[in-house]
Amino acid sequence: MAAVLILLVVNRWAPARLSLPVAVIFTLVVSLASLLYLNSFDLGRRAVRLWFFLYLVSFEITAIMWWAYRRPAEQSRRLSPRWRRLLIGQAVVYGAYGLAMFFIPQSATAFWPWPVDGFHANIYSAVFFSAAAGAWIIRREAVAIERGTFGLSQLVLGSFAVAGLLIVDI
Amino acid sequence: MPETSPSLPYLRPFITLVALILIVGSVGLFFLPHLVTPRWPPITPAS
Repeated sequence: MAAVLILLVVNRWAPARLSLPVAVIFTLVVSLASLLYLNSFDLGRRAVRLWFFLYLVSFEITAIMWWAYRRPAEQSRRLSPRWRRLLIGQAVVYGAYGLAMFFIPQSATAFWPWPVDGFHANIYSAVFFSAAAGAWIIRREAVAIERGTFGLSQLVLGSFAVAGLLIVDI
Repeated sequence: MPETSPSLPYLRPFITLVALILIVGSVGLFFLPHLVTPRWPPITPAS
């Protein structure tokens, strides 16, 4: 939500260079997970049809926009080797964990503080794939708005995940 | 710099819709989970 709001206000290639591919990956993974569990959905319910409509249409439109507006990275600041290593490390760890959540969901979520079934593990993997993609895209260079978008997205995700756990658990 | 970055003329209407859906969904899931979670995600619980 934070990344989309920044893109809505700025409406320029920076930060769309970061936000559009991340959105494409998120909606693609959620759509794939939903299609894999298609038998678990009651397609007679309006909410189910809306679920598939929103994700599949969002995926298509975001992918078209990404393709239509694609440009090379602009004159942007090269990140220091330390930041580059950190972002590559984040991309590798998040990407590997996303793969584990998608392909071996029960093992990958065994340590979670609440039970996670295969469908939800597949859905949650979209968050890790998206974060991995974001870190990978800006690993070499990024303008300020892209660094801010990525940082704010992680701040919101991390703080609200912890806050949600505390609110439910206390 | 963002100021020299080209604008994306056809993106804003779509992103506005996505932002509205995300705001309603996120605020609903976080602050009104008892209202939202029975409807989301729309999958039959494993039993």
